[in-house]
Amino acid sequence: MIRLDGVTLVRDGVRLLDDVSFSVPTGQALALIGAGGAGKSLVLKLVCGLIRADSGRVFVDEDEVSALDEVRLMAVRRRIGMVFQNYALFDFVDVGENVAFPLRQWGDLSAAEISARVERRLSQVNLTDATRKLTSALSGGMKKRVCLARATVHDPPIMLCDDPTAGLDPVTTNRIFALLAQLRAENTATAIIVSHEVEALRQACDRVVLLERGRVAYDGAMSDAAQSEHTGLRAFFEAGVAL
Amino acid sequence: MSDAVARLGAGAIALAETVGALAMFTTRVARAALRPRLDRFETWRMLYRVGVESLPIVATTALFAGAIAVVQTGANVVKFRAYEVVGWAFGFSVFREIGPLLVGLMFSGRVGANNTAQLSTMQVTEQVDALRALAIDPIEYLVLPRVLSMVLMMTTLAVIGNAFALVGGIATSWAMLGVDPWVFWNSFAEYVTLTDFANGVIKAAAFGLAISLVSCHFGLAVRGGALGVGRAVNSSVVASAISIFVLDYFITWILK
Amino acid sequence: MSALRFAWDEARGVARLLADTAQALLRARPPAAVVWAQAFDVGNRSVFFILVTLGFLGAILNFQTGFQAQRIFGDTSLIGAATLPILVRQLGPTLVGLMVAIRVGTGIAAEIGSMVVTEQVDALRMCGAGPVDYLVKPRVLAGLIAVPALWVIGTGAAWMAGLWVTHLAFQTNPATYVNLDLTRGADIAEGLFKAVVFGILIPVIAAHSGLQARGGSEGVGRATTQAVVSASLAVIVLDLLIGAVAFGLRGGAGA
Repeated sequence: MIRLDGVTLVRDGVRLLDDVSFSVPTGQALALIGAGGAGKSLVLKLVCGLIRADSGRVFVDEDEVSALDEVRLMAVRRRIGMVFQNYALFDFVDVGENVAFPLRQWGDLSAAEISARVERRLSQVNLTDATRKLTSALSGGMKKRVCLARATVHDPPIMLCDDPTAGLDPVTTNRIFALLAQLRAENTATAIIVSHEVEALRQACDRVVLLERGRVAYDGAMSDAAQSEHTGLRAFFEAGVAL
Repeated sequence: MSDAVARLGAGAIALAETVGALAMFTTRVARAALRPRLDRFETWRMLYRVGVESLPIVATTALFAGAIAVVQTGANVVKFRAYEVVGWAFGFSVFREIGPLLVGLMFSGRVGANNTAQLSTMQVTEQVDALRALAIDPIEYLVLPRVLSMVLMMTTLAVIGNAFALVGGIATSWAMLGVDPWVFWNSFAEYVTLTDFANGVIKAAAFGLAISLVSCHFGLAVRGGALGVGRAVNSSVVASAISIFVLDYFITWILK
Repeated sequence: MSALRFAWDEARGVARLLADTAQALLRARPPAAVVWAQAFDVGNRSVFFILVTLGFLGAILNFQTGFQAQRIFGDTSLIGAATLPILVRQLGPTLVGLMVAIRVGTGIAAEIGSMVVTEQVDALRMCGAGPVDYLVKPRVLAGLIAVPALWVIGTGAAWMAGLWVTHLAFQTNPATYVNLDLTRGADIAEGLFKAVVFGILIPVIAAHSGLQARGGSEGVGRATTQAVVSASLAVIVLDLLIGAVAFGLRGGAGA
């Protein structure tokens, strides 16, 4: 379960997030949508404690993320897989080591187990051939897949995906969403997915939250959302379908 | 072994390439300077920016350079009871040598590095290409005003820096060695000649020219994104430091 | 005034990072192999640069001193003896410090800065590797090892260049130049102490600038510039402070 409770974030006098509250029950997937600059990425970073809110509380399962120090946060982050918007791949190691990185840092698996897991993940995302490549040599779609593999190599029960298909062609986009669904199913992971792919989100997610300028404008089940009269939501869905 | 030789060779080639590219760049700037069509607005903006950027840091550095010179000669001054010549020893070493050297290095770190960062950002975001597409010569529009401003400002700052160094020297020898400011000033005014002063200012002007050319060259020659910008700044300050020391050596040799 | 305010904020930030690093070091030491690789990198990247710059510095210093001595005393036999202690305790460590700030400081700031703006540092934190532990700690230890070594190399280079230039310019006999009479243990201690302090502080200051980088390539450029300026200023300020304290410790009598 992920829960935000009255979260407000102010930077340089601007309320980037204003009293944001919603929750994602265990095992469900939430589509977090909204225009650019609405605060979607900030929400994801708040959930894994990479930034801190000025007020309000953030929960991941029974842990209050907003109240933990960096050391205790590490334990929470081990349960989270984060797909970064701009890949955030390590440029000082190759693809294989990128995926192996979290496991090596935590050090509770043997080298053989780690390489077995990495191999399996990389074959799942169809990147076995690229294991020894440097990340700078990859295309955008490949980078996203590496990022997905790294985020899920430890079988996290929680997944946060920040625009996993930004700037990709439609075929690759469908492949990424299929992968996402497959990886999520393996761990019955709770997920928040930020994306603009309306159709894909409709299939992948149980709930939808629409952010408008840092405020929650709509929060409901995905099945109701299509029939909703909410103007912002309808604009979003119709524009997406028209594409 | 052969690996080490190969790396040495690669290093030598890279060095020769850099020196060659820098020489070609200098020629292009010199040619543009022969028929100067300075963008007046950009030149004023650069003069102002370079001055504002560097004045606090140059003043601080000079103040400390003056103080350091006194601290380091302090032991000998006390030992030989040579209180009457503190001002002279100070003036000679600071005005001619330590002052311009430290001010030059700090100027390179502040203004030169910033200039490379700015130009390389313009280059990687294709702003320089946009200029060229608009039929504006980047050398004329971007480089010339920067070279002119840095040389002028470095010369001015050397003079201002000397004043700050003097304050630092007088204050330190008064506080640490108990030398009366007037005694300091008299030995300074009596022995330190206009030649010492001019020597330092000439060096500063030469450093300014070197820093401006090097920092513009590395800014425009950048490759790659964010990391490329960082690397360009790195190469720029390193090359500036080397040219400062080399120039310092030859100018010292020529001017005696 | 804004410059003073900036300097104050910067000093506080660096002090906090230094404390964090010390704390992290007490908690766990980074693997020796990582530290050695970093130290080798710091040394390797700087050694040619320092040989060139400090070599020229030694030539300039001895030339100026010799020129002055010739004009006033008509005797250049003591140049070597007189310039060595200054090199060992002051110009050596300070110029090596400035060169490391320029060469290594910008490198660290550029590297960490670009990792910050491309969210690699966030990704590190997600993987349980805090930036202080993973990035700052090994670099500080590397500086601690490499800078004193570079101090020895740089001072040696300057001294050798002085030997050459005094021979050329004043026909000083190399045997006369090699004169350690005026160099004391205290000079060596002062120089070494400065080198150690600079070795710890330069990586911390540079890492601090890098970690504060915000927004794209412009941010990386800004962080890199800030690293050189802050690290160089710190070297100059500490050179004065340590020099003054050493002067006081020697009782001011030069003995």
